[in-house]
Amino acid sequence: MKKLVITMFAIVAITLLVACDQRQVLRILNWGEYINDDVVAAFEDATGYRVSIDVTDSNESFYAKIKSGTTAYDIVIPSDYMVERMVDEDMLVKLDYTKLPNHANVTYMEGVNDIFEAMTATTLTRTGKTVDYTDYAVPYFWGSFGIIYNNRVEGLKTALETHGWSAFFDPSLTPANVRRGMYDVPQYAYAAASFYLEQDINTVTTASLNAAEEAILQANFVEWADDLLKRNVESNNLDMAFVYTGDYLDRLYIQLEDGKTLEEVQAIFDIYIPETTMGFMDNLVIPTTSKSVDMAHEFINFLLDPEVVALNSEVVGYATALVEAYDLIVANLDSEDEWYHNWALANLTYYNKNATNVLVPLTTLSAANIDKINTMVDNVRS
Amino acid sequence: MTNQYEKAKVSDYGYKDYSFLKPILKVFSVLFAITMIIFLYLPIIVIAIQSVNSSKNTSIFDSFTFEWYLNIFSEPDLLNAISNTFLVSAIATTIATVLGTIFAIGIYNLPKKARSRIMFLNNVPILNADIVTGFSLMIMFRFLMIIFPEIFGLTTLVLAHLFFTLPYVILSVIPKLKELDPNLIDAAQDLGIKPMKAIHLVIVPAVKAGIFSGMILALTMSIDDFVISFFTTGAGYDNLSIWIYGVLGRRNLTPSVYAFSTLLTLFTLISLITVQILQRKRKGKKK
Repeated sequence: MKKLVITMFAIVAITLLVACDQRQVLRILNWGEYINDDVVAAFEDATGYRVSIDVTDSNESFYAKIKSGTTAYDIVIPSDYMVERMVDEDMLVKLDYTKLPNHANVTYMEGVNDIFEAMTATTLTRTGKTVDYTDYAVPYFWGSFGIIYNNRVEGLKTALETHGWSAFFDPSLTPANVRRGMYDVPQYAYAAASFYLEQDINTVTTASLNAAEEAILQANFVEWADDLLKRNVESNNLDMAFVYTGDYLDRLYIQLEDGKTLEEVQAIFDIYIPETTMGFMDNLVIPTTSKSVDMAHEFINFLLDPEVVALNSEVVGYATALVEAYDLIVANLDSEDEWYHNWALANLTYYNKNATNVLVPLTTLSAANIDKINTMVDNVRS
Repeated sequence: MTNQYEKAKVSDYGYKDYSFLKPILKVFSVLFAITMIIFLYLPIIVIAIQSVNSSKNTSIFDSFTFEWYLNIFSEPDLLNAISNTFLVSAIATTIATVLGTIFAIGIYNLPKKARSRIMFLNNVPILNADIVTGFSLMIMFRFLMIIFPEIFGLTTLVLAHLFFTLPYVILSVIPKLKELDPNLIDAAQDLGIKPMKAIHLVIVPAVKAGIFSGMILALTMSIDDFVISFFTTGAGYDNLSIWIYGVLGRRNLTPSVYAFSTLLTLFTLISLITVQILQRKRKGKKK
């Protein structure tokens, strides 16, 4: 008994001593495994601050954690549509670009600018206000969505390349008995169906909903999941699924680490990125509840350094937002190190800066419209 | 004189013979037990296997490694979450054990009516749904925020954990108190000891087993709590379960989580076995 009490006090005492850190704390709320620890350590060394990172799993949770007022994060990293909503509700601090000197030396990727423009455009149609989102947000990572497919199925690759979205939704265009999977987020399913039907993914009408319902029924998805989709395609339990391109790269890098080459992995499973597809962008923003706006600016400025960004994407696997960082990554093509070579090759293949894909981000829909989409997808699934 | 009536059979009294069902029921019970064991323990075994798998790919077993166990200490986020978890649990359990013992002694010495009323209040947090507890605590703490703006984080987590562990300590101490001789404390005082010392030197050692099991219960409840912690934590204070929940969003779990889970399971197993052995020894002595 006594011993136990003593050990317990010892644990408390030791941890309290560790916690007694005099450094200023920069609080970040991030997605899980979405930053390179080396980058954090470098920032801590350069500034003498302590960085504390919490993680969460959805944009809605970012919103809830700020809105509740019980947390005081200095930086959060929500996606495009959630930034729109947060700006709408005055939850974000306007960035002071005089405190972001690195910004003058970098250029955003074409796709990033496209997404910023799309955000402004959807806000204009929704509220009639013109908002320049670069006033509030600096891009962190961005990426496209694509169709991950099982390349062991004969003819699937050709079907996707000739028919695009139609191959994903129309079983008559692909080899027989192809098993399709869909992200279990109703809004993504609606968006994918809308691409196939060539209708606007951010407009909801009775006609568009009915058409989407029919398309989803026709595709006959055998699996609705998130993380599992990519794994199941990889392990031959599924043949096609709508996923983040980064999801594919995530599995790809794991295979590369195990010693396979890019071609070998592609022969097993690959991703097809349609001409017009969904895009997303995660942004560094400062909530109004932040206790230290200056520290937050310092961190954002640090993440506008191309070398830091390249180091960061080595771990994260999504597309870098800065042209300069992209060039640094692609320069590894001549690297002796196999992993670096493959990494550069993967970026050239899947996130090419000259790619002509049109990326459409989601926008914040009204609660009523989200309800309609959810009901529609529930109907199909039941 | 012989009885001319037919001898009554048991079935005439309404008894039905179901003994033919016995083997079927037996098979069923064995099958049921096996299924339950598989469903309950297989996941734990799978996690243990995954924790020594050198490949991050869960569908392939590559080779045996202890790398992930070492990695626990080099992943700052994971390590931070683990230390937060233990810090909160250690503080909350310590306070809950001390307060719970004192409360239990107090409650036990109340008049019967008052005692049952207090015990009713004590049971509410136990029976209440976690999500209701978590949410209502969050609302209460938000009021406190007006006076202490920095309260969300360690303080609120410890308070919340105290809130749901304290009743368990009280619940496990009171039965032990009931086993005591009611005159014990009077006897001790007759021998010249002061009331506080009597509690410390006579009552507490006598109900040690209850305090100990209450403490273990509080510790395990506190370490694995997710729902209540989720609502009551603040910026920069993720515990392990919140961290795992957050990480699952987009990426794969690092196998270090499997390694840590295995360690935690082993720790629980070992402490359970130790408690069993201790109890058996004590029983042996009594005989």
